Amino acid sequence: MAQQQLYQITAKVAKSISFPSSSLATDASNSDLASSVIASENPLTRTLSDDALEYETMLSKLDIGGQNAVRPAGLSSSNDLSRTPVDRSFTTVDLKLKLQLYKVRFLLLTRNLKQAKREVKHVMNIAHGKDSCTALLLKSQIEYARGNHRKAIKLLVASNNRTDTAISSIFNNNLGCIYYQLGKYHTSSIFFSKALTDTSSLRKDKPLKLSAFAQDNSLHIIYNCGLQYLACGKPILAARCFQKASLVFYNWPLLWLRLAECCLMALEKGLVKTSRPPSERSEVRVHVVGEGKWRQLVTEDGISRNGLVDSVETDDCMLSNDGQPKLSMSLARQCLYNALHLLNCSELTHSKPDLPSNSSEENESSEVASSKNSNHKNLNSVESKSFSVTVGIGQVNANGDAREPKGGTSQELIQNSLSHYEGIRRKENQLIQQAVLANLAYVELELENPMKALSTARSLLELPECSRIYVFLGHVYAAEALCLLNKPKEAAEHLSIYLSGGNNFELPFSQEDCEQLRVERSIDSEELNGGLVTAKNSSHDDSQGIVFLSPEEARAALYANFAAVSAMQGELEQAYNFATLALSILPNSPAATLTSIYVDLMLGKSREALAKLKQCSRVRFLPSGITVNKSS
Amino acid sequence: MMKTLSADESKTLYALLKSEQSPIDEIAADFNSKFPCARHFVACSSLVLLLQDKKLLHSTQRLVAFAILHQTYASQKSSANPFINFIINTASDDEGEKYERAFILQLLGSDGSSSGKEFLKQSVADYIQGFDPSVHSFPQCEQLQQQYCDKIHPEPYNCLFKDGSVKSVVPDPDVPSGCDANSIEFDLQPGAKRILGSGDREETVIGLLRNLSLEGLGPQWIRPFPPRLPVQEGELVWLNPDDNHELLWDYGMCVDTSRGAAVRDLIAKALKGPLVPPQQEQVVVELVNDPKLVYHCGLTPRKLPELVENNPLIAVEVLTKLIHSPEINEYFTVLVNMDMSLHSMEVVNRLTTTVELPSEFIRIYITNCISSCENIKDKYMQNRLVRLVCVFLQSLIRNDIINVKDLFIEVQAFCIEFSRIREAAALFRLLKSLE
Repeated sequence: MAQQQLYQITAKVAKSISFPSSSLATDASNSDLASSVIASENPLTRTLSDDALEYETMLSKLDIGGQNAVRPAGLSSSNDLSRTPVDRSFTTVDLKLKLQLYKVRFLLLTRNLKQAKREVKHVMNIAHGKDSCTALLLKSQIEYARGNHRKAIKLLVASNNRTDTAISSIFNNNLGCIYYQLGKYHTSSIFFSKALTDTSSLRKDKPLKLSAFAQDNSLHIIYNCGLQYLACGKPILAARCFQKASLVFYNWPLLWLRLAECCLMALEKGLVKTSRPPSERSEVRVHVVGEGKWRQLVTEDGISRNGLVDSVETDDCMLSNDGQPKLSMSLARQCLYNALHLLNCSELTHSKPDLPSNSSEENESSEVASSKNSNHKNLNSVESKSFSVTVGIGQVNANGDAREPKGGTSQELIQNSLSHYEGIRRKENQLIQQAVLANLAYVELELENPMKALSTARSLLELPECSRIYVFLGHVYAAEALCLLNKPKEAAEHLSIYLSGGNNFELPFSQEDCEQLRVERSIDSEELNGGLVTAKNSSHDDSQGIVFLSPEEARAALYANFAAVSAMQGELEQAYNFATLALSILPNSPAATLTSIYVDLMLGKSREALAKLKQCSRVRFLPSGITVNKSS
Repeated sequence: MMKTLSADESKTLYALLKSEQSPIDEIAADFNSKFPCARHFVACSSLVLLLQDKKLLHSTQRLVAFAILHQTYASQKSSANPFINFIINTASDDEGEKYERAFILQLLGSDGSSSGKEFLKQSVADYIQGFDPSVHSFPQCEQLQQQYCDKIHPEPYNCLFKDGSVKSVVPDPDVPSGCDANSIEFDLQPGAKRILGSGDREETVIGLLRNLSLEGLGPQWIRPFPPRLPVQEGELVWLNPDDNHELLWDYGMCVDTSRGAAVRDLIAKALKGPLVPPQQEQVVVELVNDPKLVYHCGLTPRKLPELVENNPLIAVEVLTKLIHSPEINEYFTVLVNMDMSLHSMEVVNRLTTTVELPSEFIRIYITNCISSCENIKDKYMQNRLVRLVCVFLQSLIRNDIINVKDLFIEVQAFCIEFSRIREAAALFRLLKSLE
């Protein structure tokens, strides 16, 4: 989506500059009306970097035009009034101001915050108090992007003139964004819904105005709402928002990933119709049959009830009767395929403009990357490289290092910003791809498609610079798929990667790996200006946390799963050992308990099995559900 | 589909097991009528699980269970019976009760013959009562398998998680510590008072029928939920006010372009050479008839000089029509800067009389004229041009198109420089007279 906006903006810049050029009578090449029309149309069909260059040349032209006057002064006297008013009302200062504003937005979109901050000061100089609202909003956005949320709020409040409903909706939405980042989801939801009310009242304004539709932001706000619902654990509401927002964001991989996450969250919360109620995923169910001498315990098998009703349903019916998305694993799969497709497309289009860019820049950026890596010595594992780079960028910012795209002329500035931004995009897309593949592998397992789950997990493992968390998931999913395909030996290989020295599993990932997934966004905590910093830092701590196994729990999962694989291969003693280790870390895991009991029963140790059943706190004992009426 | 029996089904099935006095074929028919075909397998699976525990069922109940297992699938070949292996294994189990093994063998042997039918007519209670072990021989397992499983079952689909599954029933006798759980004293007798540790076999059997599933317990897999991707930078949409772009109407859209075709052709010709008077007439008339036509006649500022040189009258006509268009200044600019000639001067002269030209434009034009005269090398041409300029200026002055004071010094110098030419002297006198 940023890509889209960026594109629009560069196109706009090029367009708006072509106004004066078309009326430049002295410019022989442009003296023809027809040719000037072509000139203003062309940028639309060009690529992004072309646009940037266009913008640059236009900008330099404009500077000349400012002094040399747009036309020979003598010729414009008597006919001025008869000319169309469109471009006349546009003074050079207005144009300069607009261009400067676009420049700041361009820099913001390419995440060149330092330069954006510098340029936004020029806006104030040009404007002399005119149009301060837009400028203040941009300033606020810069502070927001830098993580200075309090300052962002101050600037935002300063920009707000409440009389204008359109501005008010923007104000409320942006405030919602800030509160979301502060982890105050409920406050943010209030602001988002206020913003939505504003936009809907705009649409009701009579007489109908074109701008009410052309500038309708409601779908963007609705996307924000979706994120907020997801953060609050309301997958169904979130899915509705994402579905609506798909009208705008349909070509955005993240949207589809989020929709799939809604499905997975619904599954986790038991809102997806499966044959297995959610409680059975988190506890062992034991039926107590009979009493006294004849008392028997019947343990329910987790997997036997795993057969999903969902997979039986026809796949093409993703919407329920009222047009709302019906959350299911099939829908999740569909969404993830969409996301993958889009990611592949963007990979193709993105790799092209990179190639012809001048090689010196390429070298520079790789140099930057390496210097950043050395900045970050505590992250030395190969898998975490991708993160150290992004975190590193933030560090460079913090030091005010000159390596950040800077450039003397605006042409260099734009080129550097773009290549810098493309690097960021690549990293982001890599991360999104990991998440998509991991989710897809999970969904395929849920849908009982081990073949597809396996191939998906394998492609996850083949990704370059994969996070260690996703590598872990890739191995576990692949191993399960292989078990389902009756290949326990290969499954064991996937797990034993983590085996170090006999019977010990190492931690599959570290706490830092979790931190990195979560800190990703707060990279620009920089310039310790005053007391704002402490408040800001604390705000980042838990709000963005990911909900996932701790490294220790992940290790327990490896033990338990390895025990299962061993048991399948008939190596009951080994299975017994691993199951015991798993239980020592996760004494209350239903799956680990069941595997352990299974091994006990296979070994004929029914007493031990009974003891484990009675110890585990996640066991629910259920009455047999039969009452025998003796008198009958 | 439910993989276990419902409570009612369990009770029904148990009632059948208890009917030790009924003939076997009646029990089988009963079973068929009470359980729909789709439930046969589930019911029989539960029976197998009960039969595996030798203590749970009474001897008559076991026989009834075997009878149901066999008779349910008796219409097909015995090898098609899904439980045939279990049945044969029990029949050839040397530790099993003799009457039970003999009963199964007779079941297996009961075909459509009259003796077979006879066998099925008796009740299981009668069978046990009249059982005589001496008349029975017990063949080996292999022999039975050969006889009743004519071919090996094709390997069914395997699932590791389920193949190795173990029966998930664990006896957990609840008796006071130190007591023997197998003791009969804990069997609940009808009418007797419940004591600690006593239990009812019947209740247990029905309960098990209700809860047993053939699938048993297999090893479990921990499948971690993938973490939710943290909100990416820039993912939350921050809004900025957008420029308001109004729609602009393109008036040239859908205009009938065929209309001016003739004029366009004539103008194109007029750029290359003079038109004959009728043609000139036609252009003028059509331009007058359709005021918008001038915008589509194919003339651009760049082409103006050619038109001026070849057809000054048409140029005047077109420029007069274009006087309110936004491009008129561009045309003027071109006109001012084109080479001096009789025709261009004529066009300017005529324009000055028909429309109000910007005074700045006229001034620039005059300055141009003067400098052209000064720069020309050819003496003859120079004389000609100077005379033309002088006449032109006189005309302008007489018609009050220009204010002489603006140009006085410039024109005076021009007159003095070319005083040898008569028209220049006349112009000089005119200037002096106005002083």
